[in-house]
Amino acid sequence: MRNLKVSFFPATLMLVALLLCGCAGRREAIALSNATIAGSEIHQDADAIIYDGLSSSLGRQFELLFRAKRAELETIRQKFLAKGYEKFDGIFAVHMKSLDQDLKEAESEDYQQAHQKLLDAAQAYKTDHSDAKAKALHDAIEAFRKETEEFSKFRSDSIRQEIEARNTFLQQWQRTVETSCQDALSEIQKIETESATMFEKLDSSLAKLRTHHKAILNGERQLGEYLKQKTAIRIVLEQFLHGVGLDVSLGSVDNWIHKTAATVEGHLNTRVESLNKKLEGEAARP
Amino acid sequence: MGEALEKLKKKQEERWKEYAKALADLQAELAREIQKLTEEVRQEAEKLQKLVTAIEEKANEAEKSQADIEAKTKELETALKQFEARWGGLGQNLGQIVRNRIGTFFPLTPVR
Repeated sequence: MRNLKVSFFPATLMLVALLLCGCAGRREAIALSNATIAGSEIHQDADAIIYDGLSSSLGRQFELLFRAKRAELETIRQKFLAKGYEKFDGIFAVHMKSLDQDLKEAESEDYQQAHQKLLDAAQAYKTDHSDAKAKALHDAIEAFRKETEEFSKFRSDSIRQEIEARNTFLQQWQRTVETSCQDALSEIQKIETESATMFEKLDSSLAKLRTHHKAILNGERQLGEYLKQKTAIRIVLEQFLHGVGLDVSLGSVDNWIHKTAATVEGHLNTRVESLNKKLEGEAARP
Repeated sequence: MGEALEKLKKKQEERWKEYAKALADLQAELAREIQKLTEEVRQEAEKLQKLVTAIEEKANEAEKSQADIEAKTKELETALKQFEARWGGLGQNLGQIVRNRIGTFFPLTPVR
């Protein structure tokens, strides 16, 4: 009988302690904490996927952007080179046509004058075979030949100069296109290099965020441990019983108390409801 | 050289100005197109820069708060261990005292 009393004493003490020191909603808080930790773990994994996705997607997007812009620049280069040819060749064609017309007019004017002088000298020599007339005819022939040669040289020089002018401007234009495109390419390259630095920064920032999330999760886990922490009285009781030599599982007693409390609460609620109905029925009776 | 040819030479030199004008027009057009292109690239890079800067700012804030979280986590962990050790030790000591006293009158079989 005394042994029985001794065994019941700590159990009674424990129940009183649990009643005095128990917290409302502790189980629910622990359940919520577990659910939050599980949710946070899911987020940690999801965030890692999102971070990787963001980093690689932005990287790909930029790679495509720079590739597209380089291709566009090459198109501009070719377009403007062709445009230059078209433009300068067009001007050259018009100039050659005008030059041809001008040369014909100039040729006929100068040719007519020299030719007339030659005819006049020949006519004079026909009637008068003097040395003076012969010399005049010789001079006229020489002047005509000189005029023809000079005009021929002028014609070739004019055409050559026209070709040279067209080529000089075209070459200048080609240099301009190449230099401008090269400068633009360098500019794109510079922006790309800067972007690469930004990607390094992005990766470093995402790594920081990952570590931060891990620290939060550890904090949440520690809070979970805090919620599961036994009360001082419970620890004392457990260790007291352990010291006495009794290993009683307080966890199972806890469960029993909660189940019993829930059952009693349920019975009481049912009873209260039926009493309420009864009272309502009696009140409704005339 | 005759007067006609002199006139012709001047006319030709006058015509060459058309090449210079065409060159200037083409240069201006090319500069506009290239500027548009590089501007687009720069704008796209700026968009990325803004995004990265925003993330970087948040990451720096996170880095600062991380130290605080880690310190507080450690403090809580230590506090819990100390709490358990303190009260557990007390209970165990009390239990042993009781056991030693009672054991003299009621021999209990230890569970462990």
